[in-house]
Amino acid sequence: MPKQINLDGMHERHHALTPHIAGGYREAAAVCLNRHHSPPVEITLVDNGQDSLAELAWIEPDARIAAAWANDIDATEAGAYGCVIAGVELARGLFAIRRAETGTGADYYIGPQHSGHDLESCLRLEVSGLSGGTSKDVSRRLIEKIRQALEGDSNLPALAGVIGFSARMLLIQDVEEKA
Amino acid sequence: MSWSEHHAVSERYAIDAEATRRDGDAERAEELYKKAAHSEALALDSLTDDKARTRGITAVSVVALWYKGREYAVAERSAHQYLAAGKIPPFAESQLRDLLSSIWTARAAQKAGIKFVPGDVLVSVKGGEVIHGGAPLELIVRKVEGIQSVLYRTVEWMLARPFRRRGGPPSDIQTMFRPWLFQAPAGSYQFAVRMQEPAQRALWEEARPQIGAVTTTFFKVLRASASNPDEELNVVVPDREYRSAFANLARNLSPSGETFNRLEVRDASSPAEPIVTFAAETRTELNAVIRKLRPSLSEANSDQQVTLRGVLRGVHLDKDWLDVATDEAGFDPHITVLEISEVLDDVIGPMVNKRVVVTAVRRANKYFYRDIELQE
Repeated sequence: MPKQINLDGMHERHHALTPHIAGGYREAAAVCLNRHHSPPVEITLVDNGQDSLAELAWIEPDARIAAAWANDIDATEAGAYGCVIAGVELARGLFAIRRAETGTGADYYIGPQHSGHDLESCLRLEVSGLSGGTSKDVSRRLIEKIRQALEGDSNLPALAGVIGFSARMLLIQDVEEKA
Repeated sequence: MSWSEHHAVSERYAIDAEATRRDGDAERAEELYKKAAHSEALALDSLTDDKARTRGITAVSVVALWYKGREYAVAERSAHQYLAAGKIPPFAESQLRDLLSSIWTARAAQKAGIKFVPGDVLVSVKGGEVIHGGAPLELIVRKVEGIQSVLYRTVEWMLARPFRRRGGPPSDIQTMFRPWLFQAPAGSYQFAVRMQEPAQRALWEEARPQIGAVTTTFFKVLRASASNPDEELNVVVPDREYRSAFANLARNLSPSGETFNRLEVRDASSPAEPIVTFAAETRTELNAVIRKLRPSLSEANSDQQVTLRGVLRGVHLDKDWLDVATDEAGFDPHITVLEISEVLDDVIGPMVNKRVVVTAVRRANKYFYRDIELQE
């Protein structure tokens, strides 16, 4: 039986997620997945180039949830956060422990559960998602995401994660720390 | 209280602020952002100097939160204070400088009484000759015009206006939405295009689509053009003429890899993630789609497909020809290409007096138009 990416009760495991945020991510992920598949699906999880399979289950969204997430840009972004954070939890045993604001949104910082007294040893999480597209598009987005992380002035070690909802693919990759 | 405790309070306020903003209560969201900023500043004060990374991330967070709470003066003062103290690492200094740039832009807009709407469009041009905060003027002017052309076409399409082959957008549409250009924080070279509400809203209230809807549609069209022009663009823009126009305009935005490598388009309200990325391969994919969309030409045995490289010296859309000055061996210095009725004003206009690549069919010493693109 494949491992499971668990979108349920994420606020209980991830300190940086409130019940409201975790619930929103779960709903958005369900809307994005439901556009292309029926639950559950087996997805390819690629962590630093190592492939494995994982099962992803969701509750089919009702009309109210679908309407609440009708903006597909918002839905894809929120759904991607949910799936990537849950995927990193499964693949690495790391959790979203802190969140810090930037001029352009907010970054999640990940680390072992119950860490987070400061951010000295946390990894910054870079998340992206594609509603449509093929596995090639998902790989291309990951490269893009890594390039962005390296282009930035941040020399913080980071982890990039990209989910392709249609392609059933979740890619996770360490972003090398700049010297 | 420790950093961890203060930061936790700030996180909660910031999360609530974001949710409130999404629900449309901007005023309440700003209040929550200010509370978050206050707690984050206390978190920063509780850190010792040896926690360099945490200090840097927290300092950026404080300024970002004041900025989101539209407390621009406090945000600016805090940024200067943290930069002057010199206790934060270089990555945070750089992010604070970018934030200062955003703060100054926002303050200038506020002072001028300009009201902008959610969905401002941020465009970044990267790689090649583009450096951090600087780019060849001609390239940027072209890209600004290109973005504006797609925005106007989007409005015309949403209003189901007759497809425009010649001339600029109708004057009523030009007055409905005035795109503004703002310098945005440098990330390579970045600029913001903002649609301004008309001064006399009531005049247009019936027919005018909401700006938020315009930019959402604009993002959808561009994303489909860049990520999956063969399938998704068909779905998003069923009208063949508009689809062809959007594909051509999107190609004008795409890099060939020489002057620049990438053009990214973001929604300024959530700019962490580009909504659309145009890379050199986007141009290749769009070329294939444009080939499919163009009308077929009756074939003759003597037909020969040729590629002409040179400067576009003249265009007469009404008389159906264009003139290319080419220095390529085997061709006359000036070549007239006929039957250009498919060409659109806003697609070819920015190419005049620029180097272009024209695909044509040579038949009995005459050249018949198939395609034209800028040679970056």
